[in-house]
Amino acid sequence: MFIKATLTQTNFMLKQKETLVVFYVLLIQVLGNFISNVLTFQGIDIIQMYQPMKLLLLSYNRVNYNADATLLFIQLYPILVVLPAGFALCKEQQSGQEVLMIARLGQLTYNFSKLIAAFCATMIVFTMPFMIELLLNCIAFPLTATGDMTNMDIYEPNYIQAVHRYLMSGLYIQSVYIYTIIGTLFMGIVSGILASFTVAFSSIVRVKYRIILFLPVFVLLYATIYLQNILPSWIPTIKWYDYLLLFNDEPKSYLFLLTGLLALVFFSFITILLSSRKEQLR
Amino acid sequence: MIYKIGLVLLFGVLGGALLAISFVNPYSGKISLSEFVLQLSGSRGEFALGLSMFELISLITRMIPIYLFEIYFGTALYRHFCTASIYVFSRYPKRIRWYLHETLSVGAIACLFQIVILATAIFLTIIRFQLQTDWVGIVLLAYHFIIHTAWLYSMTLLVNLLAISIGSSASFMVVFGIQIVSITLLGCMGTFQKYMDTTAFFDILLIINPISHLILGWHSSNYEAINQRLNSPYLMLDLKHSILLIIAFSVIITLLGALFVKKHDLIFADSEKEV
Repeated sequence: MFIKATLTQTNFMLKQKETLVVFYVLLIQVLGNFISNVLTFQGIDIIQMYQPMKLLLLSYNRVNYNADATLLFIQLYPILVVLPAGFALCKEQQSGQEVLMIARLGQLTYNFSKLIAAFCATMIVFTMPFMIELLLNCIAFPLTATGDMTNMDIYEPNYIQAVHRYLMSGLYIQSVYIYTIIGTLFMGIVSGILASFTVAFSSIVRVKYRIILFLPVFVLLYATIYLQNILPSWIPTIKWYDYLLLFNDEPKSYLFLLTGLLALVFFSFITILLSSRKEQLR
Repeated sequence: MIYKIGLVLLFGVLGGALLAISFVNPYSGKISLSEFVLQLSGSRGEFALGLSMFELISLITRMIPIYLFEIYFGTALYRHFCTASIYVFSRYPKRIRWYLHETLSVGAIACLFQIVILATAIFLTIIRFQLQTDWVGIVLLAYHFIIHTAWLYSMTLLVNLLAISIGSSASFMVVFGIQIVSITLLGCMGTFQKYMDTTAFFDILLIINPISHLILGWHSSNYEAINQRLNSPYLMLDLKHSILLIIAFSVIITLLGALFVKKHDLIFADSEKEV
């Protein structure tokens, strides 16, 4: 029952117009970045060519060359991540469909299936376009190119030090392609967790206007940037995009990342559990 | 109303504190009022805002209190169209008068919000550093206040007006999107400049981009004392022109909104529930 409800709701969320808008916005950004890369790097000698994965929209390495597309993505992300599924519960609360669904599925199954469906739908939307770009880059650019956009030699000690600061640097050293795929999936998973967090928030705080549901994720993500400015410079980065973007060489804290993600997951589950105990069929 | 004012005070104090702690950090422990205002509107130390990704992200971070205000007060007018709007407007047939009264209320709240932000930021800077008041700083503070209040008012009003047609979440997405794309276009200007022989195209892009008018460090003035303080690499923007442009923009949005509210069909009342 639970699996069937989750699958149905994921399928339903993926067909919503907000989901399609977010998917196309990301796809347009990705294709724009790909076309710009093709126009810039066509005909360049393989020795001078940058590693194709470092040209991706999600690549932080681009800040050394031209990161306009990445900048747009970073700015839009806190809002886009809520759109595909964040309003799922709120919409049904407002339209009254919630009562029908609860009568059919039961409160706990309904709420949990909504949470998991929000996670799955958002993860798919935030993974697919970047996987398409990865594939396109593999087809269009030479896979043996090794250049880094910092223009450092790959055997330089500074470059090796920077690589060791990447998130999952072990994977990068094994294979840059596996690192990119896992990194993209990780970004999708974090996006799913943020969407589920919004759903959980809407289960406990009943809002009249959906616009208010942008606030939790928006405040959370920008708080990391504000706090970074306040904290002493020797503390590892806590900015959200330093963890989500690929090839980021800022010093990071795995403890912070894991604690943050676990706190979000824990909050979402506890909140959904608590809201499920309240009787909605009054 | 008291609840609204309390919320504005809370948001304003938090926003001002975050701005002061995050962005006002003089090297020597002393800061002039003019430098303080420039740092609030985007400058980094004594340097005007650059066009790199990091500097533009820091500009967005400075604008977060504005976005939060837009989210929260983006339903100030719109809420009347969601619940019993037919009843309200049948009792109060002069819709334009009602609308102007509501826009005045949004304007007053935006004004109060900016005052609280600036007062908190100044107060914290006085506590943390030595703030030296100069008359150029007072003039720049006045410009900053007027330009940012007018921008905040027009964006919040736009969120409300669009929400009547497309719902609150979509309207915020559109208004936020416009602002974000404008900021990104500032980042792209460095790229445009590479391919252009003249600076004319660059200057036009700077003028038509609304966000560039919010950055005081990119302006120039007829007064030499102010001009010396601004020290801008992009001297195409005039402080007087920017203030007039942003105020004109606010007036146009208010007038278009009046026209829209007057003609809005109340039968399709609740776009929030999509019914």
